[in-house]
Amino acid sequence: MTILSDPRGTMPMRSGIGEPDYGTPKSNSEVMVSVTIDGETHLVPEGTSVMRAAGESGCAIPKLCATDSLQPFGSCRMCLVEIDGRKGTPASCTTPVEDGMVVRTQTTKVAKLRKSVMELYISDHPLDCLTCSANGDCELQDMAGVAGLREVRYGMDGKNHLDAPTDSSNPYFSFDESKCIVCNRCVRACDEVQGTLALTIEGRGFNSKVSPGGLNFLSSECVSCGACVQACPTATLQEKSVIDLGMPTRTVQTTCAYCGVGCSFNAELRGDELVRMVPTKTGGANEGHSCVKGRFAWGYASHSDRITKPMLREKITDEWREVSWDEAIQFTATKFIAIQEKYGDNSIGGISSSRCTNEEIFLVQKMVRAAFGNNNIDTCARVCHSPTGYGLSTTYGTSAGTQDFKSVAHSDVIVVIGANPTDAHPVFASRMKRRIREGANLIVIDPRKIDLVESAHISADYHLQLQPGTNVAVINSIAHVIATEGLIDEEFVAQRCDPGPFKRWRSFIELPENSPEVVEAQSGVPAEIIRQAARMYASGKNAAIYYGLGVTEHSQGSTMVMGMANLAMATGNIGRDGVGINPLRGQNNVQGACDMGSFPHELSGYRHVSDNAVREQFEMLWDVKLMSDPGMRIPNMFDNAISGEFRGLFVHGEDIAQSDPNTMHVEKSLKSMDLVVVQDLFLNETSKFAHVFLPGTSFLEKDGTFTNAERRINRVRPVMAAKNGKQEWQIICEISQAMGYDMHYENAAQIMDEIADITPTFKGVSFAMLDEVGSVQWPCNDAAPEGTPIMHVDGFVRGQGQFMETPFVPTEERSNRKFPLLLTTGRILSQYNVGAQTRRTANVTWHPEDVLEIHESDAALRGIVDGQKIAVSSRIGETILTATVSNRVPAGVVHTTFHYPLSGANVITTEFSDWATNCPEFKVTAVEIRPADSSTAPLNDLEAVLTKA
Amino acid sequence: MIKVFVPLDSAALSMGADEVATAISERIGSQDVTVIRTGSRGMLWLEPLVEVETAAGRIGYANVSVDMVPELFVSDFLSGADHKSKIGLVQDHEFLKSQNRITFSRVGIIDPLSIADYESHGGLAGLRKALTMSATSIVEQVTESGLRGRGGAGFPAGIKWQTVLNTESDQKYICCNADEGDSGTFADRMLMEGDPFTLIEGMIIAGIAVGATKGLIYVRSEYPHAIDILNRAIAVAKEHKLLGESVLGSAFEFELEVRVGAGSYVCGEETAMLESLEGKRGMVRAKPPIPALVGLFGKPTVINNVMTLSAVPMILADGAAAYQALGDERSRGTQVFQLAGNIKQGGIVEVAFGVTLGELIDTYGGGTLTGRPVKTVQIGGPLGAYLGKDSWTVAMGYESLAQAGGMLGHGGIVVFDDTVNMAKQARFAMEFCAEESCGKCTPCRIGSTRGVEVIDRIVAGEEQSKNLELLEDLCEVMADGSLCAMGGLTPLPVRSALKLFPADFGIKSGVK
Amino acid sequence: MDITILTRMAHDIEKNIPVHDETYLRISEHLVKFWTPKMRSDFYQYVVSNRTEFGSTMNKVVDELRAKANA
Repeated sequence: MTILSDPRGTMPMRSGIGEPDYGTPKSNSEVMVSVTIDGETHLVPEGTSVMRAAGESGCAIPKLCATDSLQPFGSCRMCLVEIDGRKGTPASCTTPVEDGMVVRTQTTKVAKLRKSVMELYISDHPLDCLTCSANGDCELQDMAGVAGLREVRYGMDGKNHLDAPTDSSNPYFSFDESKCIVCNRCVRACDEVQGTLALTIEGRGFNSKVSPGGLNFLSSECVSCGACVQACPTATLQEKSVIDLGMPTRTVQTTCAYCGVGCSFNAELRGDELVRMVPTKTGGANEGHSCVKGRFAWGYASHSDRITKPMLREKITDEWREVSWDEAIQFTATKFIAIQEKYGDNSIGGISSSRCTNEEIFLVQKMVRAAFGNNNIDTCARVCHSPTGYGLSTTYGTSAGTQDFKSVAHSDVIVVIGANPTDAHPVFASRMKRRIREGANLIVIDPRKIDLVESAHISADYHLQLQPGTNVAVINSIAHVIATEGLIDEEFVAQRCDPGPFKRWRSFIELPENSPEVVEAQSGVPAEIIRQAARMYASGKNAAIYYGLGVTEHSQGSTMVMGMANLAMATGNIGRDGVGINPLRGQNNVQGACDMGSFPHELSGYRHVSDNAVREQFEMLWDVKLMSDPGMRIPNMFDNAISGEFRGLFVHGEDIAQSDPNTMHVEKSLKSMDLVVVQDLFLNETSKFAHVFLPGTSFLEKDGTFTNAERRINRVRPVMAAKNGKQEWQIICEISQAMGYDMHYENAAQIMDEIADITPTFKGVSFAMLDEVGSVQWPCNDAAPEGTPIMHVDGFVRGQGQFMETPFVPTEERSNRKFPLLLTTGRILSQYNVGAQTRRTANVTWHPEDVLEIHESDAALRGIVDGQKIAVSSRIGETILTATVSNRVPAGVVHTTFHYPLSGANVITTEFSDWATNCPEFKVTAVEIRPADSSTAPLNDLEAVLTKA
Repeated sequence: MIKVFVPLDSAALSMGADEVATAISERIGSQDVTVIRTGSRGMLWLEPLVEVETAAGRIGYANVSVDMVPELFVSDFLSGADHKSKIGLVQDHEFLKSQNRITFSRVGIIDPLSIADYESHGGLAGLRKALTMSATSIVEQVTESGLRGRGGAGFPAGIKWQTVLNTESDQKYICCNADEGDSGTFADRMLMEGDPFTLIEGMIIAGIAVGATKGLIYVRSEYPHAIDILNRAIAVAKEHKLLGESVLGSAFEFELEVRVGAGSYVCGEETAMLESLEGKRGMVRAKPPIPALVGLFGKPTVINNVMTLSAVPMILADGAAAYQALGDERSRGTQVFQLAGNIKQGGIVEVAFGVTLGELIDTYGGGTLTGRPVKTVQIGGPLGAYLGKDSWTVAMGYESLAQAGGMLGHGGIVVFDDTVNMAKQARFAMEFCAEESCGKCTPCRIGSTRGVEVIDRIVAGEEQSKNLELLEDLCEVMADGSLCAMGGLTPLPVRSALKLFPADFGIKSGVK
Repeated sequence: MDITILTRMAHDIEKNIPVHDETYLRISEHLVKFWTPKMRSDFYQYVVSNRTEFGSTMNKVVDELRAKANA
């Protein structure tokens, strides 16, 4: 264990194997001031605390209530110092340095005070250090040593909290009140870092104690983000895994594999056993914060359901048979070749996974293009953010969000459209909430009253509660107001945008059909609210749009993305801190999957396969002839499978049978194929139709990179040995080789080298570089050697910004007499996507099943009560869910999550999709609901569905 | 028309003043007599003190009870006639005659809710003057007057105002601390009940001086009458355009609001008060930043005590020099002392700084109520030092008292006779701190509880030498290590009691 | 691939690309950029025998692209 310490060797800068802690946040001031600490003079930024200045200069000052993720508090009184010319002994955490200040941190006086404070602490603390779970990682223990406390003269018979109870209600951590030193770090972390404000101090004086409000942590507002546990200097709030397994002894820094925020974590191990995941302060995306998934829900990686040996079967009705890797690979290759020989080169294809590393994805698409010899490669981004790629590349020239996450700290107006960050992107949501609490305005455009609309110390200025499917109408009406009320940033548009398209767009958007008054009837949003929201967006200094799948998963998903891009250009909200168009990516590596050339029409770096120059470079590098026409998209593959043209599919880590729309159709197409190869951690809905199952590696075993929603390339490092015995990239290589294409790498770093070599936006990236700087945001090349946090600063990537007309074309999926309600879908905090991981963790405590949210009037009309089983039917299918009567949804709209296969949410979703990218229209399905009775067949049961079909 | 004055001050009410007023009103019949409710003169041992206006001046009748009313009428008290309760001309009363009432000049004399009464007794002159002056010169006047914070800290008011004036902000606040929580203090309450316009005027002037448009008065919930009168006075002030968008037709805006505390002693500490005003748990903030820079809702804020703000109108009306001329050394102007505890003549003594402790206790207070010898006095609230007879000659002032080991605090003086056990008093100080600590900083949160335990052990004779050393170490860490004055001052009564009266702690001979 | 799926996709594209002087260019670009050769040729064939089902621009796009493909 490494300890940074002062020259006297007494004061640790960190506890246990954690990161160094400077006590108070870094000052960003550019003004430097001179301060003399214990005789040595240092220059530090103005606003730096005496504590931090001392710590940075190697004279760390004792502390307990201070930690550099939180604002100084000044309560523990361990950090008292003497300052020349000042009365008494000020606390160094709350005292900012001043130019010429002379500080003494180690005087007899402060030493005595610190010892006395420590004596008081220990007089109300169990003396069980040796058997305590925090032994070795306890700041109280460290400080008792630093203070030189040898005796507690008060004795241990006085009033105390030693019998206080332990709250073990949370599945991941326990709260042992008897060890609490009331430093308030947990309460402050919940307020300042997480922004949930679930914790408080109850009582006063000696009776002050931390309280989650209500009965216990589990029943409280606590979202289990772990910030309090991380902030706790003692064993009071402690991971149960640490209590069970003991204190970790080493760390491996890696990246979370859940959502597109891409948090950096230190995986802390004891020997080879993972004990806990701790968010790293140096992580560019999360800066020390985490959510319940990344922090705690990693146990699935060692779940007994993990498949670790390859398996084969001739027919999907056969039992699985464990085989050797050689046999599995040979079987796969032989069968693919046979299909191609019989049905032609185009008869097979592959789907890459946004859950995998850039290196793995790059190889999957390389295998399809080079070994399969076609362009039938698509990725699961097809069903989530393909419209983002289309919309942003058309208007701006890059298929990616424009900002880094930090940017939101500079926003004055924040618009959240079709996204639910507090559930789906919680760590970014905390940043956003912090800014809103500081005073930024908030506009929410969503059919549902998501938590952001109204939560602790946060309230949306406007909530545009639109009917599902009317996004484009609403965004057009906002633009209409901006254009007709003289709110366009004419200077920005003149300087940065293509004038022809702008003129055309302007005359289009000013048409009366786009006015709020007309759109009110279509969307249900009052015209006046639209007008006020539009004015707020256009007149704020920095206005930023954040959006999610509520934008993209519509028949006009791409149009909506362009509508938002238009809006940002028209108001000049592009190209600096605090503004921009920002997709919140659902999966950890959606961005990377798109970057790596997973779409059938483009090679890595978003270069079309028809571009001869680009293709030739690849052909030269890969020594193979590539096809110049686009291949099949996922829905094309399904359709062509049913029609018999498409016979073999390699599915890399995606459960298409659960996650893609119209399950019946998907399953029918899978059944039609001669070879379905699934590579995954667990058997899943798709593997029911597979002939080959290739066990994959969890993120804890992978070596590579993920690229998050802010284009940040983060390292994923192996924390443990691959349970299946092979890295996934090796498996891809072996299949390719078995198919006759020579693909070979020594390690994952070599794959990145190849990516960098052939992809201009990645030119400067390598594992060595990432290991040195931590992370980098692409483009990273000669023009931007340190990466690009904010895009389009001086000009758009495509040159001039391109305004696009965005006519509102209502979806054909409408409510009608038979299906009078509109179903929309979303996620919940504790679960992730199809739930393959989170369902295999204690996260099920919070969300044991998918529920259907229904407005009380719709429920009453149908005689449905809270908690009742109900049948949900669309023109496509029927499923059974549990009703939750909730006014989060407006009348006429119902909502469900899709985390459990049993719920079969996609049994009822339709074949409609985005006109430009075929991203499915998950967010609008006309349904009817009735109480489920014995006559209701559970149609989400696979066989029942297929029989009916 | 004959005017009869009956106090409505809480102290008088507790002695039956309301009933007396009703009884008088009922007996008036057709006579041309008006009963006017006023504040109290501050001679609390005489309450209810009924006064009648005569050609010679206001004649007082002390300790009037309902039973006494008929005979007062029979004796023709309405003409100022003799009665056993008559004390003569009130203004000539020994207790009042030698006082220098500036802040309290109108208290007990005027109808607290009559703006006409207020104005005819010199009210609003300061505000009118201020409206003709620049912000800088108002602040200069306050600085030159030598006025210091009367809440206890004694920080020069003018310097605080200057800081707020110099700080640019879209919003600034004036917060009046009326969370008068010290034992033996009641001056704030008496002023708010007896002459609320003085405080309101002082706050408006402060607002004009520093550029604040909003004022808040934080009053403790134990003061229902003061809260009621303040609210009514604010309504009257709004009616008369003292408050609102245009103060007395000027370009200045000032709004005022009363906020009620929730029974926490530590909310009298200015930063805890700000937290409470913001709707949060009343927990002390670390300084810096000082509230003058980052105060209420993060905005520059003047926080002054009722007495400080109430001295301002007179300073503006009569000029800084007049105020500065009074007092002693660096303690300028008058101090409103409050005599309480075991005292014969308890009440308000407003005199210039420099009066000796002995004069206050003996001359004004008349010694103990029990008639037994005074053993000690505690000045400055429950966390003030105990002083013994040897301090009788100390001239009252911030520095001189500090030199004698005490502190002025809010000017409350609580007297004890020789039956008091000082070990119990020392224990009480620790107990009080344990009870009222906000729980933020360690020395106060844990130290106060340990303090009670250690004192108990000393008194029980357990390892006295070791425990005395421990108590001293504890006092040191509380005094030097606490976040605010709550924990910081608790050692004061403990150490002084121990030093002056070690015998009360049962300290065995030979133990040092 | 089922021709009804292709025609629905084509109709969606027609509806969503607004009519102006660049419409022709954008539709043809879209088909070339995102559709597989087989989808295109199946679709061209269908359009030729079902002209009235599509607008004039789509007809023009199909004619031009067919000519190019055959060239």
